[in-house]
Amino acid sequence: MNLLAARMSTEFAREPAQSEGDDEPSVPVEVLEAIDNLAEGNTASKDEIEAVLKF
Amino acid sequence: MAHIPLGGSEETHIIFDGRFPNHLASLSASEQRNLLTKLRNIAKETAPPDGYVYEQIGNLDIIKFSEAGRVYAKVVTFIPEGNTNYHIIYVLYVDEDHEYDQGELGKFSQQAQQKLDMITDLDTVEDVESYLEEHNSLTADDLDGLLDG
Repeated sequence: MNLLAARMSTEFAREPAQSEGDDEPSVPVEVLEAIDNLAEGNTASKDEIEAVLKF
Repeated sequence: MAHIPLGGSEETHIIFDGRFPNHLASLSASEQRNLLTKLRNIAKETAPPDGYVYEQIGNLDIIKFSEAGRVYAKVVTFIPEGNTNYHIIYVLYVDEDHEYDQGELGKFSQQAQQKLDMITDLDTVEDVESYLEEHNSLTADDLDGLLDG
């Protein structure tokens, strides 16, 4: 495997993706936490969003 | 005859997960602006927001806001059923660089996908306006205010 192929292989492994025939893909764990969080009704307000803006 | 909604009069609302400010705070000023501008532009369009989904993972909708930036979301269109006034984009997570180590990933199980469908299914919500208010939904005008503020 040349250097480019090795790099592409590594990058592919680090991407969340749905493999063919795989109905349980991998996603960032924060997504799973957000679903639980949203189920509990925890949402962000406009003021909370505005408070972290850097521009 | 099948009913095919054309859209046009519906207003798009965006509901942000409670941890969204933490994700947003980790972005640079330009990336923050890119993200909010992308969501604002989608919300301003008369076309339903599912047309702006970059890709799907399971029942998640992925919106691309920069070369490597992705928003993990769930887009729900034409609600309430029968008298459609709204589309909703649920923003779950902001991914700045689209790269992960294996330990940062989790299985998006059938149960998790069903849970996402359940909490974004508004068929049983009698008062959608109250629901949107209770969940701090923002419109394109609200995002304009954040971008111009």
